[in-house]
Amino acid sequence: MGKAIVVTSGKGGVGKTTTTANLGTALALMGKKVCLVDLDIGLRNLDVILGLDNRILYDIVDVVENRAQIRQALVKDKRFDDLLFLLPAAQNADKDSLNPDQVKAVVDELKPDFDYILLDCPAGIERGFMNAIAGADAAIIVSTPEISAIRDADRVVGLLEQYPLAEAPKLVINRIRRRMMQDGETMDIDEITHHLSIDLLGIVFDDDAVIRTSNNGEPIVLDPKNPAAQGYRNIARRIEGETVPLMNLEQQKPGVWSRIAGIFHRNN
Amino acid sequence: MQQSVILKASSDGYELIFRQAASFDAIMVDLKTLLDRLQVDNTTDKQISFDMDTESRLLTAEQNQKVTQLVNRYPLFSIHKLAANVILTADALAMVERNTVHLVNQIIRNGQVLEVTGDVLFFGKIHEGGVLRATGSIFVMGEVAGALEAGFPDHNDAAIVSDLSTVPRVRVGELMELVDKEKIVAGTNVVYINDIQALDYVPLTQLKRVRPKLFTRNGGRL
Repeated sequence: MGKAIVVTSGKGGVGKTTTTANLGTALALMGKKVCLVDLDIGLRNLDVILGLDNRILYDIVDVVENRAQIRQALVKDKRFDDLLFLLPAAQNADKDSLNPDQVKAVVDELKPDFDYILLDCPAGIERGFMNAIAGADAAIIVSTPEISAIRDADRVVGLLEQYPLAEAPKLVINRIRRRMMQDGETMDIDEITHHLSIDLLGIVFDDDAVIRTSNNGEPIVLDPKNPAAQGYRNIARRIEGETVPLMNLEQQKPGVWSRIAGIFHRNN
Repeated sequence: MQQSVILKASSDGYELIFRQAASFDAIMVDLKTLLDRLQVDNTTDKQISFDMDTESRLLTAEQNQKVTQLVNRYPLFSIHKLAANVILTADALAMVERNTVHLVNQIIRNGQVLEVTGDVLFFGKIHEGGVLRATGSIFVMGEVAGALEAGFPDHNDAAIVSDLSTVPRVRVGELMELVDKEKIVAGTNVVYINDIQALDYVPLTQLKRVRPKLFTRNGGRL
């Protein structure tokens, strides 16, 4: 029986969808069978980040309205052997097209066939949020080190206390700019975790490659050398119960050769 | 047979005791007989007001009304007080709740409002956007970055005792204001409504002077 995890944040633009795509991909890379469910009805993006946007036939609203079977609506990611699937959101409907019971029914139907079901929650705390948490057993709260994102994450943790899931929510601090955090221009990891008073699941460094790869429909996690990818892979391992140390905030100083290469790169 | 209603005279006037062992119907019969006799015996035009004691029996609203209607039939008689020695369990619990200092140790997050009946001794954390609201006074030993509301909604004799350096908004009774950092004192402040009905901030050492009643409680009873 699979575990359903909602990826939520309250605030928009902190990287919920990117986190969902990358954690799903990382878990699939570990041999787990994963279904990603896009619940951002009307503003779906998860399919684009995974590069599956031109392969959608049916969506979750078609499933709940009995226009399609769930198996017909699932989009398989061919890069993995039957391990990664996407249940897309509808684009021509709104968040009121679903209700919490319907989402729970869909998730319950998926659970026997998957190890993990990751629910990509829309921004906000209204109907879309309630739909997303209805089917979940656990929650990942994504926040960036910005005060506004932390404030919204706090609000969401409060709501999850009001509607408790089987497991307590865990925190992912996303888009960490190492230099700013080291210089004290943003709250540091300990401060954020202490302030929100929830367990830290992992950290992900900000990296231009995340945007570049997602524009190409390839989650960053597929590049094992990228620091952001390592962050997502570590989180996936922790979800699986492994003990993995946090990545070091200190930025490695470039060696002589890479500095010389950098000069040539600039000259080009 | 023992009377179900006993008439007693005291320095304050007349007292009627409705015996708890008797049925209410028997009490009504005896009360009527007693009042009839009193009316006959009463040779003056002096108004008589009774204190009625129902012992360990709570009269229902209907029974109360029946007693009142019966007494009102006699122009010279009236009820001064109709009371029992007991109260409902719910009322008793509410009274205990109101008069208890509640120890609270939790996080009040952005958007959450924790409402407490009575006084609060707060050890937890109030995040930005969180509200601690009490019908009584609030004493803070934890961290507060949210709002404190004491004496909600209109108990103007409540007070807030807290470090206010990170508190954006306070309310005591009906008065609410943004904390003016110029007005607060360093360390623990007492926020209360002063004699000219304005919110005032004084150091903790002044608490007993401005709110002496906080220290005159005895065994939880006011």
